[in-house]
Amino acid sequence: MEALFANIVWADILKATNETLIMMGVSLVLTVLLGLPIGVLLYLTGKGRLLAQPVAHAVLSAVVNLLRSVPFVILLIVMIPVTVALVGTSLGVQGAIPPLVVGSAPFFARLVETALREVDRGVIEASQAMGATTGQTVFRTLLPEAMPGILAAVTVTAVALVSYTAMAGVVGAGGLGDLAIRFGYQRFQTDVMVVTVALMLVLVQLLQIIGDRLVAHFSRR
Amino acid sequence: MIELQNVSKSFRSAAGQTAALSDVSLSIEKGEVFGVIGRSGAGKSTLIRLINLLERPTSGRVLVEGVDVTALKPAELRAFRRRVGMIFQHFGLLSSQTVAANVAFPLKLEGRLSQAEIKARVAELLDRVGLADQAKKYPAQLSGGQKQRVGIARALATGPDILLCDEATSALDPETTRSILDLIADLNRELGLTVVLITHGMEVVRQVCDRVAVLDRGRLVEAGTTADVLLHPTAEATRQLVAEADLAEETAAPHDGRIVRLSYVGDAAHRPILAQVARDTGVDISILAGRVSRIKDTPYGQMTVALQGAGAEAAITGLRAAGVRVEEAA
Repeated sequence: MEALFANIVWADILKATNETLIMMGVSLVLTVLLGLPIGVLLYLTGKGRLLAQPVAHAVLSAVVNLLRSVPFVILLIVMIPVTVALVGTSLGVQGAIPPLVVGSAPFFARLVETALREVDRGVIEASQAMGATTGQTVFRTLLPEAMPGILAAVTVTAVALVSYTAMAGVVGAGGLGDLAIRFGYQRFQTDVMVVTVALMLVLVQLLQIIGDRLVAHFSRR
Repeated sequence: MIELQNVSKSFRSAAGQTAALSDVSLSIEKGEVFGVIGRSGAGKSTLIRLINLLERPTSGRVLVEGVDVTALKPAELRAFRRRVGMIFQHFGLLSSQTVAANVAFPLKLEGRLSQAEIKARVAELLDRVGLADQAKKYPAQLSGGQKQRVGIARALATGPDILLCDEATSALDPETTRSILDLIADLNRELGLTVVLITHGMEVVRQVCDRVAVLDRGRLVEAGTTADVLLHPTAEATRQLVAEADLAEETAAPHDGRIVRLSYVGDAAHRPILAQVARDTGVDISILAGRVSRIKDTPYGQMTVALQGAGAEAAITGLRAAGVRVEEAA
């Protein structure tokens, strides 16, 4: 064992794992808080929907597409001034969170829009026929009916965030990706690479299992 | 109760304006079961959605108890919609909620009753539609007929005066259709509910409707009491619908003598009219085809007969005198 993992400092691995979990967790919460309303708006303003607004929809859609088309590594760098303005630094876990959220919120918003489109129109019509306001239709009909789809979207986004945090390592964000790049790659410490990748694999598996369980729990079809 | 005045509705499509309804006027009385029948694409769905303004008319007025609903403000429209229950072909139930929560839904939207009052009201409604033991199930665990019963309980929750039925039995098998229609007819009688139902099935109209209107390609082609429209259709569209539903008799077998079509409604169906006329006039009457049945609660008979003998003319006069409608078969 000693020979196999000669370069491993377990305290560093633990710290890096912690950092990855914090980056992913905080970014996920903020992504949902930001992306969910955007996804709902994308859906509501769409053609034939409750608040059909072709112009607003086109603008929102274009912004979302623009952000989604910027490669995350580029976004990390382009956003540095904004990040500094928001959290005071572009380094470490703190500095990684704004680009992570900006990178994943548009992606999550699209997934939410798709999940909402799956909701049966008949249920929405019934809700209107019962005298629901648009707000009531969104909160009492649309979101509960789309819950399994939204939870699946959260799972996919969480998994995507794990790989984004690894990329954030490039700009010194810390975390498992940072460790993998600085030690595993740049110093040819293959054992560090193996351990960090294995940990991320376990993390992704866990996220997927939890997500699938939640989706199954909320599915009534 | 409900009055459509020169209502038209057109939709914008790739091909330009498509008219779904053209200049439709009709009035529906309080407490009646009013049917609207037509083929798919005839404009039925649009028509029923005009009543609670899920669709807005392009022109014309929709009056409910004298109030022009197209002029209501958003909040007034929502309050109005709570007085109009609606059930749907595909039920429109929330799949994520239990049966009880689905029925409670309109009461929670309204926000007038306490939790305890809502619970009591839901129990009462589920009991009325025969689903008291299904409260905790989810819609996916129910049969089609049960789902529609949940839909009916939900539609009645806020105590509406009007029930709109949008092809409510079209996704159900014939037996379930009958039981759902029976429930609707019972509710109509018990609660004095005004029912508007749209359907493409003549059987549905025959079983529950007091009056019926026929739509054909967006136009109202015929309207009247169900017996009148079904037994003596004047519009071509109605004739076809009646013929397809097998309510008209089969084509008569070739036969000598004078062939006439008889129809009678109500009391006449209980009296031995044919035998009497045959005795009085000495005419031989052969029945070639026919049926004796009911339209809603009214018995009726419809048959094609051959009259043989010198007294044929007298027999026709006698039949007419007894209240039977006689037409020469073409």
